[in-house]
Amino acid sequence: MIGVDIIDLSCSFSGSKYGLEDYKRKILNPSEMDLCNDLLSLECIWAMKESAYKCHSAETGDTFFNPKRIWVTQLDLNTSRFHAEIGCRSYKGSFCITPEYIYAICFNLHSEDNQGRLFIKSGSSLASDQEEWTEFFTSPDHFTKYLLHDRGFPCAIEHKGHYYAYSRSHHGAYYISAIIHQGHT
Amino acid sequence: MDKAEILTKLEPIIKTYITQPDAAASITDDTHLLRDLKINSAHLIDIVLDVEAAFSITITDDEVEKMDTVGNAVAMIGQKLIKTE
Repeated sequence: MIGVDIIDLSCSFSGSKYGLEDYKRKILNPSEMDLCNDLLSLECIWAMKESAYKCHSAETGDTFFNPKRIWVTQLDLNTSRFHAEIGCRSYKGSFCITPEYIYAICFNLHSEDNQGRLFIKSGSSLASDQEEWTEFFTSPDHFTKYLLHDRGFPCAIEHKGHYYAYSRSHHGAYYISAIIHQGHT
Repeated sequence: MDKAEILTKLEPIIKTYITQPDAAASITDDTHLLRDLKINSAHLIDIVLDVEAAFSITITDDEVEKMDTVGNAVAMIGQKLIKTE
């Protein structure tokens, strides 16, 4: 299983009336406080937690809303990798920060190709995948199940608000595609 | 503060973060904040902070989990208010 999260930095915590300390109090565990010194790092940890949650939820069926039940236990800024724990389950992930978005992808430690690198494809590079994306937009949930069960690609989608994110694992690499797509939510 | 009064204060807070207008039309006790109202999970943190400010209460981490539906949020706020009286 894999989980993916994308944070649109144009409408994230930074636009809120609340400050860094307010969010840290509600989101971070004590051991995570030292990882966070500004809103960008907070948003990055949030993306890590969200991706770990989605992977965990897909794996176990467990759903909850409590950011502090997700622990980011290791964070390596040089390799952009992190570890997360939810209960007794461990997850491993990777993240990427661009001027517009933060991307995070997480997978369980039992995944066979969990050493893969994270690649980001922008919306403009999707033309070659037109057929795939047409199917994706027609029925994203069905498409995800098709990739996962019929073709053996662990994958996940994020389709809240006005954008989709789509990730999948293939030959040891993790791909996240993101596209802003009004009207297909 | 009774359930109706709590809901009267809570609804505008929730509606602030609903991005799909249709979703706000029929809020009931069973309405799920994430699933039915499609509220961004990051905005749930904002709702928790707004509720703390509006009702002058502090919501613990465990209590945050009880705010999954509108009805459960109202009940949790009601219990907090009773404890603070």
